Amino acid sequence: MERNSSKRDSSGNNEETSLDCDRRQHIRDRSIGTHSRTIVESPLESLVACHECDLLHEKIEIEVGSVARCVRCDATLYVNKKNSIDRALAVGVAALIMFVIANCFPFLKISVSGNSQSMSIVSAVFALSGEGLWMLALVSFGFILLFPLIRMAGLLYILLPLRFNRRLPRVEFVFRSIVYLSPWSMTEIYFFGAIVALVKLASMANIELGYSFWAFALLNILTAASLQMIDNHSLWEYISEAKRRSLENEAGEDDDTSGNEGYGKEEGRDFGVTV
Amino acid sequence: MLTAAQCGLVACPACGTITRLSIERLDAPPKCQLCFARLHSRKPMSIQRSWAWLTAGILAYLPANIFPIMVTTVFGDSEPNTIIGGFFVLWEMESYLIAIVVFLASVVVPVLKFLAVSYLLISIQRRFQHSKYDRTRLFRMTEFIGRWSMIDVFVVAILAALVQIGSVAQIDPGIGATAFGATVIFTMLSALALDPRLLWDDKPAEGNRIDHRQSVNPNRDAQPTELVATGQRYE
Ligand SMILES: [Zn+2]
Ligand SMILES: [Zn+2]
Repeated sequence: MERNSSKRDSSGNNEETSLDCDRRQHIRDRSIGTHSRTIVESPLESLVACHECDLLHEKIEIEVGSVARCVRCDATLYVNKKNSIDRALAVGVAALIMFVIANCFPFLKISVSGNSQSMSIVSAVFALSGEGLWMLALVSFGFILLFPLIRMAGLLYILLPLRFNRRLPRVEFVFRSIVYLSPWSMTEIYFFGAIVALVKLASMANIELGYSFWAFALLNILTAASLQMIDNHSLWEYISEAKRRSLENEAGEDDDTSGNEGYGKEEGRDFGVTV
Repeated sequence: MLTAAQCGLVACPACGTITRLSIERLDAPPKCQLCFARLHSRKPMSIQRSWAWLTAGILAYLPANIFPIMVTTVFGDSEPNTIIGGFFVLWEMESYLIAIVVFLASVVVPVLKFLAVSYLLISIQRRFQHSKYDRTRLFRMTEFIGRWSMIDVFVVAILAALVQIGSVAQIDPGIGATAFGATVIFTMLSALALDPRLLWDDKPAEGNRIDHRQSVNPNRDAQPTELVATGQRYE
């Protein structure tokens, strides 16, 4: 472990203190590893910092389905998920349909000695709207319905235009909303809550599962599948890939007639994520 | 081993893109050039905010256990149920699995979360140098499992919505449910405020300003990094 000291060092120094925010600046003069003392001169795009310990890594190509982990803390840095955008879209649309169905039909139905009562998913929110509970009702509404809906709709907002080589405004904002809301989307917890409630009541009353219950179960499976297909990072890869290509296209069209040709070629391309 | 902060770089929390911090933007909080998320080398005021949310969570946990989370009325007889009471009822009904789930979600997880986050915060403040890896794993677990405590609130909400059968039986949510929900939300916020990268920092690096200055004069004496060497370029 030895730093390379030479002219390169001082020039690198100057560059680092030259204070412009050029993303293409290189990190110089860092010897890497104990064995290979090559100089890292990688553009910032080829670096990835661990989000849990901040360690810098150089991105490497990994096989499809494999995971790049931080060498120090084992956190997942990125995953190579080579899914077509069509599949992700299909799952997204299916999840949205299930969400609508789950909210249109009764969720559970209880009957005790001739009396019966049914509830929908939203009823649980309304049941909390009593005195001193309205705040809980409000956040529950967010956790069960609003945030999951925003995630699903946002995903479609991002992916659908990409599928047709178009760009809608404020994609970045939608992306960030999805990222920041993801811990607060709790449909799966609500589902397990329903199962606990079922077990509690099973011995005392007769309970029927409504259509909504099954739709909701499917919704959770689809959500899990969708998270498996596109995590936040690969979603961003889709977006930036599309940005890059549209920039290339613009440049190509400015250039010459070859722009058209390039465009046609791009259209057939799969949206594979290669990190 | 070099961190992004030591090189004057910062990774976007949303999209992961790496940006170089510059002195010109010292006063304005820098934003990711690609997705426009706010950039912080370390979450600002991480320790303080985390302690504050954690304290709020612990305080809310007391009324959550004292007040009933729901009131059951069967043929006119009202009976308040506390969190612990609900567990015993399930245990007597011999649905042990569900009883254990409820006990885990409502007692074990919140209490362990209080302890874990406190320990992590103290370890950062005291600058413990040992078992950084294990503490990171502890953090990851806390972050993952904390939200599942919300299951208790949802159970109460579902029961209250379903069991409204005239004179036969009725379940109403109690004020304890609000307190418990607050506990869960506050502890989640506490874990979100806690920046795990502080566990690995040798020097306390808090807030943007300090990091900016560090970025202008990156720590030149830092140990050479151990990047994954490949020579492959990203195109
Ligand atoms: Zn790491
Ligand atoms: Zn970003």
